[in-house]
Amino acid sequence: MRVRVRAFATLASLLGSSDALVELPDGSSVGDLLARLVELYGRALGEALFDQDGGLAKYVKVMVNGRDIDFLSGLSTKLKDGDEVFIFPPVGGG
Amino acid sequence: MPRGYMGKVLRVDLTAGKWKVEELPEGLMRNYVGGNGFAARWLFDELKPGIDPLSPENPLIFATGPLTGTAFPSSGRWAAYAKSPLTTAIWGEAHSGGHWGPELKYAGYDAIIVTGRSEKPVYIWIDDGQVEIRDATHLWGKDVLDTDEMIKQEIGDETVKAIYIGPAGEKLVRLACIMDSLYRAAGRCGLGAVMGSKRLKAIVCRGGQDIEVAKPDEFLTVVDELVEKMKDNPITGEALPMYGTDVLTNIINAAGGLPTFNFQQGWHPEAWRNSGEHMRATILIKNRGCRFCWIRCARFCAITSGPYAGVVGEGPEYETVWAFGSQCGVFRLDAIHAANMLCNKYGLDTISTGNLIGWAMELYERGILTKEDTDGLDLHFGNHETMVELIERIALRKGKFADLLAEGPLRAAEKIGKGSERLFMGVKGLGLPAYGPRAFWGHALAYATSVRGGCHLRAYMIAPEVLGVPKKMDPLTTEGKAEMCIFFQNYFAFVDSSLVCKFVTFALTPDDFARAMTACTGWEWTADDVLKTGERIYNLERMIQCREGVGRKDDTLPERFLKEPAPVGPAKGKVVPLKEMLDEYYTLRGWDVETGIPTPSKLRELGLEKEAELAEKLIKEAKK
Repeated sequence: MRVRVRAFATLASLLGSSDALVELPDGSSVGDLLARLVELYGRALGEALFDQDGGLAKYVKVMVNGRDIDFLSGLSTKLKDGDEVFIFPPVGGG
Repeated sequence: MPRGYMGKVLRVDLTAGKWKVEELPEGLMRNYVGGNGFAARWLFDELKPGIDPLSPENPLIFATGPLTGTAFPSSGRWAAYAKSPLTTAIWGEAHSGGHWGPELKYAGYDAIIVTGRSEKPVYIWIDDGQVEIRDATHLWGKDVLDTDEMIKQEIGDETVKAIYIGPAGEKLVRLACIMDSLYRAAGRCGLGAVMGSKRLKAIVCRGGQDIEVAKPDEFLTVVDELVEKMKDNPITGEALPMYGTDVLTNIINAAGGLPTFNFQQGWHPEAWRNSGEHMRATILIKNRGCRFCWIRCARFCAITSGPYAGVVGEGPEYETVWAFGSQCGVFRLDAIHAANMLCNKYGLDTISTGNLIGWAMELYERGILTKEDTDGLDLHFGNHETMVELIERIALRKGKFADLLAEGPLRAAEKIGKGSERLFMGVKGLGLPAYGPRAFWGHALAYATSVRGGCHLRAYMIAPEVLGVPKKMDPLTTEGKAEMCIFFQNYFAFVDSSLVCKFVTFALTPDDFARAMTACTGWEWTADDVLKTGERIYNLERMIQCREGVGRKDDTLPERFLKEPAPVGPAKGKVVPLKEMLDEYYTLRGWDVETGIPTPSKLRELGLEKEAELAEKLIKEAKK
């Protein structure tokens, strides 16, 4: 299956683009996708996404089709073909 | 005497052309802190119910707080208060960054209360305690840029700090703001029109007095610690400095809450064109900051090509980007920045103005307005030329259509009719800001209950619902929202009274404020005191509006968010379940659930005795 990844702010520069299509085996989860991204784009991205214990870094937000994965199944959230995954570094303001 | 204060309020009666200085009572400082608290106390005691907000009787208050202008981070703030001429909320309030707030204190005053109406245009010049009411006939009609230059020349000092109204305020446009120098604005609730109604063009300050704090060493130790905390915080330490407030466009769009086409939807594929990232990559020249702020979230942008080439200045902020962007179907930063600069030049609130133009565009697309009504303007969504043109017309009341819009959405809707009022996206007459309620239910509750009307700054529920501060909450549930909303309203009422920038609250807690306040004032403050005092202030503000008939019936949202399911995005199919959140909200607040009026017992608990007596009467009358 293929999912579209969109990274924002500082993460976009680590990805080298704000937009990427990623091929994954069927049944992959958000965690699998992030691991694949680190493989593809390097350690700097991994350091930005994960804390020392391998969990998602505090304040990094991952959304699947606009829903924060914290309110889905976290890193185990299953993906399907055509899903859009947004990754945000800390943002704020107003 | 507590420290942190100058201990004085300046009262100016413009009808008589006289002024006097009063000492601040100690009880006022202890129980109401400053800023919002002072204004709530004064407006409750001195605002006569039922008066016309544009009459000489409306007191116009300018206030700072004990932390303003001190070493406390991001303390370059001030706020204005009066009965609002724009809304039905009664309580009118607008805050600004910039430079003026600290200077007012250095010039010797914590606050100014202006009443009356001058026969001729005037400005107030405060030079290190000395006050002069000066003729401003030659400044009347001048835009903010010219006024700034002329006043500084006249005084012969480039470094004086000043606040102004532009032509919009002079012409009593109900969307008018008060500008702090050229680029920062006390935007909301139409207080620029109140200043215009008094024929007060500017207040200029210069001062060399020190703000004394009670325990200087302890205060600086606390401040150092708080600054470190803010630097370590990814929002205040990284996101805001790097991309400014417009860092929000992409994430709010992704979450389905970027108001688009007058809030018809919350998502648009072209939104990235208006994002902070895109701004940084294209028109950004440098970061800017308010006085005593190292976050420096302000932008300075220049347009160098295309139809808006030559537009240069500070901004645009996220709220401005949204209002003249997706709200009006415009996805180009050059037009947005042009709109922003015109609002600054003429003194218009960007949120209310963009919200209003987006509304007019929807009316036009639905055929409720035609070219005959709009003085020939084509108001289709996305028509940025018309949008920019209309701003100048509204500010100057040029033509019959713009003159109508200048009266604000409620009065305009009354004239237009045909159901137009239902399509205005506001609460209590104040146009909603940059977050679509259907995608953020706690924020929807904050809109419905905010004491100044449709406003995001009395309880910023986007923090828990999107950013995860102080904890992450699912935006599409009601659970715990009323409690969190009340926490924010009370906390922010305190922050708006100590008077510093709210952005520090991404990193700092009520306990941090308590420690800083203790070292600053010399009075013991605990986190509980901070929240309890905030609650007292919030309840008092509420009583000012309840006294003039505001209550539960007004604490609501436009029908669109309660009945029309969101058409696209993650909130697709959702409406806001407001009623259940509201019931819980009033119960937790200790307010009467049926009328929304604070109960006498709650008010007594907060030490508001005469307000309790009034509440008793109001609740009885409302239930008759």
